[in-house]
Formats: sequence, structure tokens, C-alpha cells
Amino acid sequence: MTTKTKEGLKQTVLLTMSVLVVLMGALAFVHTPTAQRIPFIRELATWLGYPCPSEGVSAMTLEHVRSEALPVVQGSTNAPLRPAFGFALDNTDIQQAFAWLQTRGLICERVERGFSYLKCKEVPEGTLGINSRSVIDEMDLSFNSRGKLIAINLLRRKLTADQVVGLFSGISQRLTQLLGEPTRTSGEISVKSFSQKLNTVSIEYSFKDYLAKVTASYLPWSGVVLYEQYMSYTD
Amino acid sequence: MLFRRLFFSALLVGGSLAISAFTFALTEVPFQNSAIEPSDSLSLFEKYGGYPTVKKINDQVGAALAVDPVTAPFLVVVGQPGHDTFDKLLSCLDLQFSSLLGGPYAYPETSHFRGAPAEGYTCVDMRTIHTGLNISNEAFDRFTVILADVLKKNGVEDADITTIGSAVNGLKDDVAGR
Repeated sequence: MTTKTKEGLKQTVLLTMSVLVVLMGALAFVHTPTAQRIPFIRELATWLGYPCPSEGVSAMTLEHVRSEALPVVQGSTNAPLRPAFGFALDNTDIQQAFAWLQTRGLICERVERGFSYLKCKEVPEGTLGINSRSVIDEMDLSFNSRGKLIAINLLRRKLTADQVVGLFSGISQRLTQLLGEPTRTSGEISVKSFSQKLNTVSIEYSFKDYLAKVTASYLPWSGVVLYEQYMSYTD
Repeated sequence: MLFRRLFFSALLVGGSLAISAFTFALTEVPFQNSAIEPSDSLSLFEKYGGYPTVKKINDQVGAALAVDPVTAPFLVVVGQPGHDTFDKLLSCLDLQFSSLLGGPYAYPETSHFRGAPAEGYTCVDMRTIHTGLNISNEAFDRFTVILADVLKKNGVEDADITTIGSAVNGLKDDVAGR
């Protein structure tokens, strides 16, 4: 081996080692909690096939966990109706829902997190066929592994006590007309109820095949939060 | 000569990154659960019947989160690499909630609840366990609303729910936006 070849080999080894050291340092850094809070690193991880853990779950796993939990929460008789803003639970598919939302001018993002979701922000309640000027902060339509609609969830945040009392009363009247008396109520719908931290009022229409539930709670960091759940309970 | 310089520069950069990585990891201050101070001599843990009530509440919260397709993925992530198994999660939740209510436990420590192995489950702090889950403020609000409703359903008085609410508020930065 000539001196020139030896020198070349030495340089190659040194270069390889230095690259390896840099890579090791970078790899160690991206595994720290601090690095995982940097959006660019999260996006890079997703692009490389290592998504945020909650995005890596499968629909089958979610369905299994859901079916295990259902007996704990479901009622004993079937619902007379399964209201879902004109959608048909267990029947409407994601393309039909997307088209329906588009015709109403709603801009919704499709998200995959085991199940598929259509996530819409700032939804005027009037677009859902309700005579109201209220705006829903987040509306989530969830679809199971067969692509069928299984839930519609509406979230409103930063409401005042007055606003939530009006909204809550309207929703509960509407649901009672369709489903009969609630199967469970908790707390009193009043301005006073929403002046204490985490004080919560809820009404529930729980059946074997369907749940409609409205929960409002005063969270000091978000104002009064109103959460509506309309879910199929068939698995 | 150029390659020697390059090698030492690379070593310096790589070494610095590696050191920063370990420093960041070491400086993540574990969340220490501060138990709610009881207003009288009886802790909330004792007032509401101790561990059986804690387990019942956690079972109901778990079921409510699991049937809701929006919250379920954050729960189901357990059991994946770097995350707890479902049994361990519930065991550690029992320990945390018992500690939070002023029961004779500290969090994070070893939990022996729910058929844990003889050596127990080593529970980690809230900040670490939620890192990378990308829980939004909206998702955190959903969890909290569901928890508050289950507390009320189980007969926890409004004043005590308010007290627990303050403790939950203290956890927000460790759970959401990480």
C-alpha cells in the first residue's frame, strides 16, 4: 500500500467517523422531549414514517377498545331515533359527508388517527339546520374502519355563563322533543352553576345503539365549555 | 490537514449536540403531584371512600374516553413503544388520583394497583408521558369536561370538584401542547 493510498484511506475513515458522530448527536437530540416539541422535528418524524404516537394507532385497535367499553356506558333499549344533523349514523360515508359539508361552504380537514375524521372549525350552527347564530369552535365527524359515520362531536369554548344557559336549554329542548325525557341529568342549568371552577351540568340520552350527551363545564382557562356528543353505540 | 480540522470540528459539533441532548433530558423537571390540602382533618381520599371510589371513577373516565372516537386515540396510544400498557396506565392513574386526593401515596412512584407485578409499575411524571402525544388545548378541555362529569355522577360535591379543578389546572401545561 502506497503512502498516498494510506493517506486517502485515513481521510475516508476520519470523514466517516465525523459524519457518524454528528449523526449520533443529532439522533440523540431528536429523541429528547424538548426536540419533540419542535413542530419541524415532528413533521420530519411523520415524513420519515415515525408519526406522533396517537396518529399511529389502528382503526381495528380503536374499535376493539370501544367495543370493550360500550357495555359500561350503553343503555338497555334502542333509541326511537338517532338524530345526527341529517346524517345517518353507521350509513353516511366520508365522501357523502365531505360533499354535504362542501355544499354548505364549510372547510373541513381530513385527519387520520386510527379512525378517519373530518374536522371543521368555526362552524355556524345555522349551517346544521338549527335556527341559531352560535358558532361551533370544532365539529368532528368520525368514521370507523368501514368508512361509516359513527359520531359527531361539537365543541364550543370560551362561552359566558349567559350564553351557555341559552344554548344548553335550546339543545335539551330539541333532544327531548326527538328522544323523550333524558335518561340522566346532572346539575342545574343556571348562570350560578357556571361560576364555580369545574362545576358541570350534563344531560344524557343513552340507549343501546345511540348516545346524545350534552355537557357544560366552567374551566377557568377556557371559560365555559359546551361539549355535544352524538354517537352510534353499535360496534 | 483539512480533514483533521474537519474531523475535530465535526467531533465538536456532534459532541455538543450529544451533550445538549443529555442535558435537556436531565433538566426535564419531573412533575411532582401536590396533594390537595384537605379543608379539615379528613382528606378527599378518605371522605369519598378511599381506593374503591378512585378505581370506580377511573374505570368510568376510561370508558367515557374510549367510546368517544375523538378522545380514544390518545388513550389507545398506550402499549405502543415508549408508552404505558393499558393496565399500567390505569394502575398509575389510580396512584396519581389517590395521591391528588390526599391519600397515603406519592406520585410519580411505584404503583401496586390493579394486579401490578410484584415489583410494581414504575409510573413516570405527567410531562414525560404526554410528550409527543400532541394533545391540543381543545382535546384537554374535552378530557376535563368528561372527568368533571364523572366526578359529579359519583357524588363528589361541587366544592370538592372545584378543589380538584384547581389541581387539574396545574397539570394543563404538562399535558396539552406537548
